[in-house]
Formats: sequence, C-alpha cells, structure tokens
Amino acid sequence: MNTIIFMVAVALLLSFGFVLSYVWAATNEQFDDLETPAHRMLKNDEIKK
Amino acid sequence: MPQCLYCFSEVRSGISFCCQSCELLSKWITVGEPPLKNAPLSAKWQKFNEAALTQAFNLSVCPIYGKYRLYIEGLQCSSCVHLLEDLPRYCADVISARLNFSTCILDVETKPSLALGSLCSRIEQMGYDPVPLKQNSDLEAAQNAENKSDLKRIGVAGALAGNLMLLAVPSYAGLSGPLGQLFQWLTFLVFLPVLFYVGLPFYRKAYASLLVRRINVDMMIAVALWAGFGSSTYALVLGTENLYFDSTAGFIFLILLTRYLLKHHQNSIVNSKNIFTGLFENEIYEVEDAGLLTFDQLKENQLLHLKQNQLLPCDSLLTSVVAEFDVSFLTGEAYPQKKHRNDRIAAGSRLLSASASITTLGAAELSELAVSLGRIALAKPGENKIQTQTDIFSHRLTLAVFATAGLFFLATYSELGFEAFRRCLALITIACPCAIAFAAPLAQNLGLRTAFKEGFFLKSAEVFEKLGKIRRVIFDKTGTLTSSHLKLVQTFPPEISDENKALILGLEKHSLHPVALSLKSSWSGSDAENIPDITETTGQGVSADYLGHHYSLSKASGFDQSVNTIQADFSIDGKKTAYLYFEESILPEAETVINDFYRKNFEVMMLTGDRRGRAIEVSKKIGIRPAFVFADQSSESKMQLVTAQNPCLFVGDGLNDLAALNKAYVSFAIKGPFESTLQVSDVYAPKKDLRAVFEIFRLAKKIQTTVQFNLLFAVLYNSVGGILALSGYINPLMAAVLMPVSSLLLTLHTVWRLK
Repeated sequence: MNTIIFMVAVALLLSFGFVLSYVWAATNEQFDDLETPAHRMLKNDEIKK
Repeated sequence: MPQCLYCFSEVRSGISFCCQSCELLSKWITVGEPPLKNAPLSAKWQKFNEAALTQAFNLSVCPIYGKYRLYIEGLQCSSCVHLLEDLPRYCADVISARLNFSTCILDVETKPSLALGSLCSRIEQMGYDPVPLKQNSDLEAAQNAENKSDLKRIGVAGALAGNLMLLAVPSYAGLSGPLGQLFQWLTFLVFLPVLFYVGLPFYRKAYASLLVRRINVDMMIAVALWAGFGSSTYALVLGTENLYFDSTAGFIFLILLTRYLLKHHQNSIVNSKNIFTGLFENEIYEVEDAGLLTFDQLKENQLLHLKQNQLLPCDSLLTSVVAEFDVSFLTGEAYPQKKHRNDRIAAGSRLLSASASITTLGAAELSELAVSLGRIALAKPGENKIQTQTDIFSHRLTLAVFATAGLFFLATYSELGFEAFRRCLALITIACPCAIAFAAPLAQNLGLRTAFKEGFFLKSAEVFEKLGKIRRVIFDKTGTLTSSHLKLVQTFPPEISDENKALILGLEKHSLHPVALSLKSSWSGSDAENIPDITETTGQGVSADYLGHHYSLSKASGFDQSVNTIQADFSIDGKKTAYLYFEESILPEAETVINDFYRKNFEVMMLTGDRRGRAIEVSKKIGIRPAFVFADQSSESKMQLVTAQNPCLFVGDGLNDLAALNKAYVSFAIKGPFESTLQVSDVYAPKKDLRAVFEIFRLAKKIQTTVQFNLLFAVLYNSVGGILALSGYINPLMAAVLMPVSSLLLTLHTVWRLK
C-alpha cells in the first residue's frame, strides 16, 4: 500500500510539473510560431575554414 | 515530379526553383554572396525614408535604433526563412532579423544608418514584397491575450481530466476501504482547479447573460459543473460511489477544446477604429512652412502641396487655379472631376493632375469622411444584429430543460430523495444543447472555409443564415458592375497607324488620367515615342511640340456628360487625325450573374451616383430592368434606399457605398482601391469577380440544409435521452458520455455533408 501511495504522489507531482511547464510555455509565446523552427533547423551550418 | 534545384521541394514542370530565395541562394553558392547594394530607391520606398514615416513605423523604444515589423509576401519554403534571417550577413546595417513563417511577419532591428525605405528596398532586391506594419492595435493585443488564456485553460483541463480518469479507475474496478477512499478524495482535490480556474469563462459569460436577463448555454454548463461537483462531494462525504468528477472534467475539457477550434477558424475581425487611418497611414504630405507630415499631424489652414495620385486626407479648398480629381470611390462618378480655385474638395479624393496645392479646412479626423466612417464603425457591431435560428433554438431548449428539471425535482423529491437530484443532473447533462452549439458553428465554419477557397471572406458565419431570407439583390454600378476603368471601344479611322499610336502613347506616358491608362492598356504591345516637354492641361488633355510638329490629344468639345461614351481627338498641327472613343468597361461576367439571379426569381436593382443616361445604358447591356435603376444617388440616399429595401444583399465597392453597405441586411464588398475600408462588410471579395455574389447564395443554401438536419437530430436525441434520464435509465456518468457522442455524430454528419 505504501508503494502505491508513493507512486500516486510521484505521478501527481510529475503531472503537476508538466502542467506548470505547459502554462509557462503558453505564457511565454512558445506556441505562437510552430512552423518557423522546423524550417530554421534545416539551415546548413557555416563551413569553418 | 520535377524538384527545385536548391531545396528539392516539388515544382511545376519547366520551373527550376520553387521560389526566388532558392534561385538566389543557388546563384550565391556559385558566384559568392554579394552584399545588398544601396540601389536607387523607388518613389514608393523613398517616402518611407522620410523621418515622419520612419518614426511612425519604428517600434523601438530607443528612437535612434530601428525596430520594424514587416509583412512579407511570397514566402515559399525553408530557403525564405534562411535568406531573410540572414539579412545581417548581407546588409551590414541590419542587427537582427526574425521571421514568423506562419504569419509571414519579419521583425528587423537596424542601426541608425538604415532607414525603413532602404531596408524595404533591400528586401525587395531579394525578390519579396515587404509591407511595413505599425504596432499591434489594442484589439489585436486583447485577442492575443485571450487566445493565450484559452490555450492555458485547455491544457490544464486536459491534464486534469486525464489524471481524474486514471484516479477513478480503482473505484470503477471495485476498490473499497481506506485505499479506495484515498483515491476518491484525490479525485476531489484534483477536480478543484477545474472548478475554480478552468470553469471561470463559463461563470463570467453566465453572469453576463444573467445581467441582461437571458439564459444561455454557458449558464447550463456552469450549473452542470457545480451540480456535478456538489452531488459528487455529497456522495463522497456519505461514502457512496456516485462520483462524477472525472466525467465532469472531461465534459468541460471537450467543450473548451471545441470552442477554441471554432474560434480559431473564425475570420479575424477588422479593427473598425483603424478604418480611416488605414487609408492614409502610408502617405506623407508636403506642408508649406512645416515640412513633411503624416496625415494625423495636419491641422486647419495649412497649405499642402499634393503630388499626382495622392489621396486627400482633409476636407480642403483648392488653392491651385485648376486640378482634376478622381472622386469615383466617394461619389460613384465614373469620370474625373475638374475643380477650380476655392472649390471644396472632400477628403478621400485622389489627385489626377501632376500637382496641386490645397488649403486644409480642418484636421483629418474632422473630415466628413472620417466622421461618416467613424459613425459606421460605431454603428456596425450592434446594428443588423440578428438572433440566428440556432441561437433561438438553443435558448428555448435550455429554458425547457431547466424548467423540466426543476419541475421534476419538486414533484419527485419527496418520493425519490437524492435520486431525484441525480436524475435532474443526468437530464441537464444529456440535454445540454452543446451538440447544437457545436454542430451549427462547425457547419458555418466549414462554409467559411469553402468560401475562402472560392475567393471571398465572410466576417461572420451568421451571414449564411441571413442570406436564406434574402430575395432582393442591389448592385452598385461604378466599380462593381463596371471596372471603374475606361475601355477603348472604337477609333476613327478603325486602324490607327503604329506611328500615331507611338505618338499618342508618348503624349500620355506620364499621365494617370483614365483615358491615358486605358490607352496604355489597350495598346500595351506598342512602343511610346520619347516626347519631351509634354503639357497636361487639366480637363483638356495633353500636348507637345516634337520634331517640328504640334501634337495634342484633347477631350472633344461639346462632350455630353449624360452619355456613356467619352471622346478624345488626336491632332497634328491643329488638324484632327484620329478620334478615340472610350466607355466604362462592364465586367464580362455581369450579364450572366444578373441572368442567374433572375432565373432564381430574385429581384435585381442597381444604384449609382452616376448620371441616369449612363446608368440606363449600362443596365441595358447587362439586363437589369430600367424600372429598378436608381441613378444620381448620394451616399446618404443610397443608404436610405437600401434600408427601405431590407432584407436585401447590397453589393458595392466604393467609399460612397459604405453607409449603404453598413445598413444592408447583408453587405458584399467587391475589391476596390480602399480594401481595408471594405473589409467591414459582411462578405468581402478580394478578387473582382461578380460570380462570387451568386456562389455565396448556393453555399448558404447547402449550409442551411445541414444545420436544419442537425437541429432535428438534436431534438430527437435530447428528447429520448431526457426521457430515459428522468426515468432513471441513464445516470449522470452515462449522460456525460452520451452528450459528447451526440456532438461527435453531428460533427461527423456536418463534415460529411460539407466536405
């Protein structure tokens, strides 16, 4: 039983953490542009001579 | 399928690159990256280098540095992102550039040495069409904030609903005892944020509707939420198993999600406050003793030196001896208007002469145009407001459900006790008109999307329902049925020699007069003679001495304003050599569209500010019955006529149509020169194609049929479900599952019908 209580507490804490990080992301405009980063990552690195 | 040689995305056959960025980047790989040069600025960008306009667009808190927001047209692929974000590499004065590919907005920070016009010119060199934007309006900022807040609530509701369902599994599996109770109390705790944070928008809307003594769907949702919480808490305290925390949270999450998706599909609302400023914000004016000013800095009694094609920002008096103005979009007059010294000229007129001086009669915001646009902007939200079929139905159903639940509770409480409350809760949950509230907007939003694909924008999906009541269509003439440009219809002699064409085009090469524009368009394959020192006499024509001869193209004397044809005579050394005849050009599809409306038994009318003779000639050509043609109409009389003919659809394009567009039961604006202004209409067609007017009725009919079927289904579903709930066959948990099922069925039906 103790294990279950521990696991439930950990699960709830984890989900609370995810909810908080989601709220942070939504507040800090992380969902405002979902398209450009996908294009940005395709840019070739500078060739170092 | 052929591929772009640079980014390998698919392209049409015969094309090597998908966009200009790929072509440029590919070239730069072989020849090296050239820095963007300070090419000579076009007149368009020169004015953006003036301090007055640069400051107006500079979003930086430090006025020395530049921070500009540009809308970039023509973005295609990843190369566009790479090229534009690499601006600092190609342009030493640019500090940083950040592109949002989804919104096509480029944010650029620049050093003091780079003005806005030069920046835009360099981006133009890269093959894009930049449009400088000003700071977001208050309305946009509020919409963005609301959007963020909605997203947060949906995320929280989804996470909580998921966790609640997991925590409820042990109870459903039969777990009892202290561990079972622990899980039940955990569901209670996890549900609290749903009640006090996620549910807030429902409480606010329910409270707002209570204030105006109306019952709406949000009130029902708020009641269901609290009733679900109350009954579950009561059951929890008593130690029974009837907990509905998980189903209630799931129900709220689904509602929020669906509403967000609907809102996301809705067209953005044009900020009516900016209707007037949108007309002039890219203009700067040369003012005597004050230099260059933007329209909002102009005051009374200032002397303005206008350039050709500039838009007049204030009501003014003409100071020059004579000048010609295009007032077609203010009054509907198809032909240029000649004004003399001290004549009054209304704001919104466009100068056709090479230059003119005017004295302002007051600030721009006090002009008749600004006042009437302001009145329209203020009047628009409240007026024409109708209660849609779906609204009325949802409202009545909500009332009926509440009344039934209340009466049932009062009648059966003594006999059934708490069970009576549970049955009422099940009734409220299953009969909640959410299915109707989702399916009808979904049908309308799919209609909006179809409309968008077919080339027109609707301000609100309610338009579809309003169109179903319309049997009368009123068209404006100038710019709507006609193109507002002149068309060369006949010449004498029938064949003009290439030599004379070159001379005529040479005389007209600098002119913006409608006759000149028509000739340039009709003879686009011919070269213009390079004639120096051309004299343009306002209202008369153009003339020049060239290679020992005197050439002139002038308006025929004795020109009758009431007929539709305009005549210009080409003379060499005073001898008339050719006669050119122009007419207002009628849109090719106009006749077919009018016939389509008559075939479907619509009444078709035409309104115009133009002379009756011209109006009748146009009406004969396109088949509108002369008894339904109303000419010589002012903006005010158009508005009165349209009001008297309601419910009608009014199709217009000009500023003179705005009052009528605003009063029409449904307004349809066709592309004109003042697009931002016309976007206040219910329907806006950026392409000048009258077929869209007929198409919108066909689409509205299809949507109406779908919505009516949905309403019928909802009535049957809710009636059967309600009876079963009150009989005790459906408990609140089953109701919370069955309610989204009906929403899903209606959604699938709607998508199937309107795909």
